[in-house]
Amino acid sequence: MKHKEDENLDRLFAAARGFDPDTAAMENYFEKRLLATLRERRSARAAWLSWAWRLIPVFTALAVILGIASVLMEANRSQDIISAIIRGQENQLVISYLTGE
Amino acid sequence: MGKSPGIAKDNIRSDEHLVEEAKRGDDEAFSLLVTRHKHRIFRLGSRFARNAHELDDICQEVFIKAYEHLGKFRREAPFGHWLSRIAINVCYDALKKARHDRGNHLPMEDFPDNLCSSASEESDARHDAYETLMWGLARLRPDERIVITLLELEEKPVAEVAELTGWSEGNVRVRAHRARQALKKILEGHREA
Repeated sequence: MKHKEDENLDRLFAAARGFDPDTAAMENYFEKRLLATLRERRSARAAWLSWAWRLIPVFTALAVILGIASVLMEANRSQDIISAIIRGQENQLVISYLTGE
Repeated sequence: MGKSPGIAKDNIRSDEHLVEEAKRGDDEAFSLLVTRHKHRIFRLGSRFARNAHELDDICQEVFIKAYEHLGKFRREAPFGHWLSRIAINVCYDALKKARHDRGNHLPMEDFPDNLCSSASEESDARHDAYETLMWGLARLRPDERIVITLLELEEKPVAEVAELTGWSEGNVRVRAHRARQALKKILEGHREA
C-alpha cells in the first residue's frame, strides 16, 4: 500500500510530465554559434602545434647533451670503482704486513 | 514544384551518412546533425540547467564532445542514442560542478527561473507542478537527480537509464529509491515550512 507522500510525489511527476520547457529562443542560431566555437578551437590547436614543431630541435639537442653527459659520468664512476678496489687491496696488504700474517 | 534538391538531399541523408561526411571535415553535414538533434538535447539539458546561460553551455559542450569523438561513434546504436549518452555525462558533470561551487548548500529561496515562464500556453497546474519539482530536484545529489529525472520525467525504462548512465540496473534502482525518499522528505519539509 502506497503512502500518502508517495501518491503526492507520483501526482507531482504526472503533472510535471505534461510541461515542456520552451527552449526555441535559445535554439535559434545555435548551429552558427557552435560552429564558430569549433573553428576557434581548431585554430587554437593549430597554433599550439606550430609552436610544438619549433621546439623539436631544442629538445633533440638537450637529449644529445644529456646522453653525452651520462656516458661521461658513467666512465668516471667506473674509474672510481677500480680505484676503490685497488685502495682496498692496498689497505689489506698494509694490514697483513703490520700484523705479520 | 516540390522540394528543392538541397532539401530533398538533406532528408535522404541518414545520421550515419552525415557522421561520415562530418568526419571528413564537412561542417555543413555536422551542422545538419545538430539541427536534427538540438531540440532533444536542449529539452534534456533544461531538466538540469539552473538558467538559460548554463543550458546553452551544456548544449554547446554536448555537441563539441560529439564532434571531437565522432571517430568513436560505432553504428551499433543510433546516433541520437550515442548523443544522449554524451548529454547525460555532460549534465552529470554540470550538476557535480554546481554542487561543488555552492558548497552543498542551496538556499530555500533559490529557484530555477527563466526556463519555465516563457511557455505561456501551458496550464498553471502543470507549470506549478514542474516548478515545484525542479525546486526539489535541485536539492538532490547529482546521481540521484539524473536517475529520477530520466525514470520519472523522461519515462525511460531502467535498462535504458542504465545504458545512458553507464551504471548497472541494480545501481539505478538503488539510486532511484534513494532519490524518491530524499525528494519526499524535501518536499514535505518545504510544505510544512
